[in-house]
Amino acid sequence: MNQKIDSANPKVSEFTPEFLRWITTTTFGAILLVLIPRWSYAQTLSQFFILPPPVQAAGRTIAIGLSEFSGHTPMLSGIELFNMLATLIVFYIFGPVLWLFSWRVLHQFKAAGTPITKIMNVWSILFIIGGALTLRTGFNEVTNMVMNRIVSAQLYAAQDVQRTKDQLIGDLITISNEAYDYYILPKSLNGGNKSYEGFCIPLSQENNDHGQLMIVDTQPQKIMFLAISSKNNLNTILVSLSSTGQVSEWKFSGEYN
Amino acid sequence: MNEVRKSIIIGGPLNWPWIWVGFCLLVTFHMIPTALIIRFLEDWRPLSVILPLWIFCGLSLNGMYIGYRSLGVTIIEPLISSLLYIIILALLMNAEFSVFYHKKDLLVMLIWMIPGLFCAFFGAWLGELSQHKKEQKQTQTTK
Repeated sequence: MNQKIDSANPKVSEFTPEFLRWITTTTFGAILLVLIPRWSYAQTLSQFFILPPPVQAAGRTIAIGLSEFSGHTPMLSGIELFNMLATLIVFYIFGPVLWLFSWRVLHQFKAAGTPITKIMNVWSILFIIGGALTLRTGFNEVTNMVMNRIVSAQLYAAQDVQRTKDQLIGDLITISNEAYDYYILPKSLNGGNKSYEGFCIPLSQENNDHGQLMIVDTQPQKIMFLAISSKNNLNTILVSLSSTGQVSEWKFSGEYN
Repeated sequence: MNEVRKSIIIGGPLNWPWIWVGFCLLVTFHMIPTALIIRFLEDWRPLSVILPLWIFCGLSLNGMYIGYRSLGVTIIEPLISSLLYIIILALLMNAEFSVFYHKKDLLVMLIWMIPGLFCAFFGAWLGELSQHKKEQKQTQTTK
């Protein structure tokens, strides 16, 4: 059973040329995907050549913005333009076209009964080059798409938390102003006459879309408000209003912290 | 088992397609997960233990697969494909962690290659053993 020692025809391969073509294509695609971008970060020229066009465009937009901000007229150099165009052509046009075309030719050879026993014929090499470029681009684009979705969801969640926090702070400032109005007004004008005792949050302001407001502690010279987010009960803001009308002792908890 | 010993000692022509396929399998199915692990779990504390385990297990499994599936005795082939793969993996590690910044780190990486190659060899040997047992069973059933 030892092929190396006993086999009469050791040149018979255990793999079909198609299998070897595909596995070679995926290998070069994986190497292009994993290794090349990492090396390219150190070198400006190849960075422009390897990075996907959307990333390059974003980079250029930032660079142009900074350049304009510092008073310079932004100009794209010839080599930058060439690299951007080359990246687009190589990864998005040349690779897929080469791959599909050579695939078709190899398929036609097979259908016509032309034996393609050699793995390293011209069409196989073109198939491998085109396939590696296409797989690299496709995998990169899919992962970028997924990552973009995740990052945008995280950003949205973070902004949502910040927005609710800002709204609750606004509500607390408004209610503090009303409480101080109550504090300074005499009893004859429905005020507290230099005391916060008896102050109640109006029903219309107690509950809204952002959250809930409540009085935690009332003393003659001090009142404390608590705001609870409607989206997460753990996100709260505790604030204190002094007899001078100063809002202080802000305490944030949960995601507001 | 004599065949296995004879093949290692005598040598004979190498099965180049299996060397290439072994390398390709490692690059496709081992390097991408490794890169993802390094990329996304870089700050994870147990990674320093899990990563070598993952690398050695991958090399052993690849060796085992080649040893089991290939015709004849193929023990040197997974070793060569693992050696090629370790070089690629070292480049990946260098790109991610800049491990070759100091010459001492390169030496450490080279020392790590030895257990990796041993794993590939051990896996291939186990694969050959199971292939041999399977063939013996088939022969007995035929008789």
